[in-house]
Parts: sequence; structure tokens; C-alpha cells
Amino acid sequence: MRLKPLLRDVRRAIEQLTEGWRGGGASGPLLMRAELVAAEVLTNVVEHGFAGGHDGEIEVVSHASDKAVILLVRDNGGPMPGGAAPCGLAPEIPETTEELPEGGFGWYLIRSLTHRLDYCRRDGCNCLCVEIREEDGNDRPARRCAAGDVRAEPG
Amino acid sequence: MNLQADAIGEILVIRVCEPRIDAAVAVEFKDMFREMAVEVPPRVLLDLSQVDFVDSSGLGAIVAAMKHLAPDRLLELAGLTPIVEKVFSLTKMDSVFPIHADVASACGGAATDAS
Repeated sequence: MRLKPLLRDVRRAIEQLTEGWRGGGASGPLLMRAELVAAEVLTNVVEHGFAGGHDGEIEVVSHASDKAVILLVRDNGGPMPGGAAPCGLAPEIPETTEELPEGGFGWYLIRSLTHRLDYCRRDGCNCLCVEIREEDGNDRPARRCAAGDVRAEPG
Repeated sequence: MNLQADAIGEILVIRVCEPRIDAAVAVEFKDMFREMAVEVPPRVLLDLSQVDFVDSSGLGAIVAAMKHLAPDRLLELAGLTPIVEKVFSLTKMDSVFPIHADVASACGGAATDAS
């Protein structure tokens, strides 16, 4: 599947992907978590990789079964900050409502819901591969940052 | 973005008549909510029972709506569907918003503990 870096195209892509995954046997919490991960990944590509520009292309390949969903996303937008996928620390919940964060949840959700995540920059393109597994139904707490990881930008 | 407001007693109920609050409509949601939430009664309830999907942008928009009402009022939520509930629990935002099973229980009594 190929799409332009537009949020309305992301929405349409997610609908097609989830339909295909359902056909492949994914259901229940696995399908729900995969839909959320796909939405966060593709939205990040549009909003950060292309930063609002509409000139570019996103290629999505995926495979689903009743046990797992694998999603590969390739795009010719800008590289991830620091050359690595953000580690997705959970935003802290402050004391007062006025200080609540309105962003910075995306990578935390991706990291919490995925079993495996690989990112590389190759030939001027970002290549991201994520795997969501049925067996992780209770969700893993987002892993700790490793050396070289970059904290997610709010937004 | 289709939001519908009803006054039920002392509660302003804003029903989100959309299947998704995602990045494509998050800004529109925030703007519409602000327009509707002027001279509000003591309680404001967001009915999410028709919303099948919320992503982090949608969550941010609902947080922005909550902040718009602060510090005098909280934004209460009702009718969270499974993905919406998952997003709120993973981000611990379920500890910030009063969450009700549905509009009827919100209008009739105390908040249920969603955690």
C-alpha cells in the first residue's frame, strides 16, 4: 500500500489495514493494539517526518495472523531525531490540570504495545518495522531508554 | 466533527457523534469544544460512547478540553469503548478524568472506578 503524507490518507490506510488484518485472523485486543500502533506510526511520519509537507510517499507492507501483526513502513521524509526511534518515556502526570501534557504520548504508546521495533535510515528513507503479538495482551511497560535513544519530542 | 450539546439538569452533556477522534480531527475537536463550552453549568460530561477509536492526538485534544475548563471545572467522561479505555489507562489519564460507565450513571450518581 502506498499513501501520500496526509492525515486523511492515514485514516483511510488504517481502515484498509485493519480490514486486511481481520481477514488474516487478527481480532480482539491484538487487532485493537495493532490499529493503535499503526495510527501512531503513520501519524508520526506525516507530522514529523514530513512536517506538514505533502510531497513524498509512504509505503506500507504488513502481515497478520491470529498471533501477531507485523507492519513495515518506509518513507522518504526526514530522519528520526538523533538517528534513532524515540524511546517513548511516559509523560508525567503533574499536580494541576493546567500543567497536563497535551502531547508526547505517541511513542510511549508505540513502545508499550509492540513486541519488537526496528528502525534504520537507508538510501534517504526511513524504514520502521514493528511487531505486535497476541501474547503481549496485557501490554508491556514501555522499556527503559538504552544508550543512543532519543526522548520523544512532545507533539 | 459532529458534537451535540444537551443540558441534563445541572450537567452539560457533549456527545461526540463521530467514530474516531484522531490526528485528522483533533484540532477541529478542540476548537468546537471551546465554542460549545462557554457559560457552562457546574458539570461538563463528554459522552464518548459513539467513539470507537482515539489515538494520542485525540487524547491530547480531550486533555486540552479538560484544561479549557480548569481550574473551576473538571471534564467528566462517559461511555469509553475498549480502545479509548486502553489509551486512557496506558497513559494513566484515567487517574485524571472522572470516568463514568455511561451518561445515565453520570447523571444519576457517583463515578465508577475505571482502573
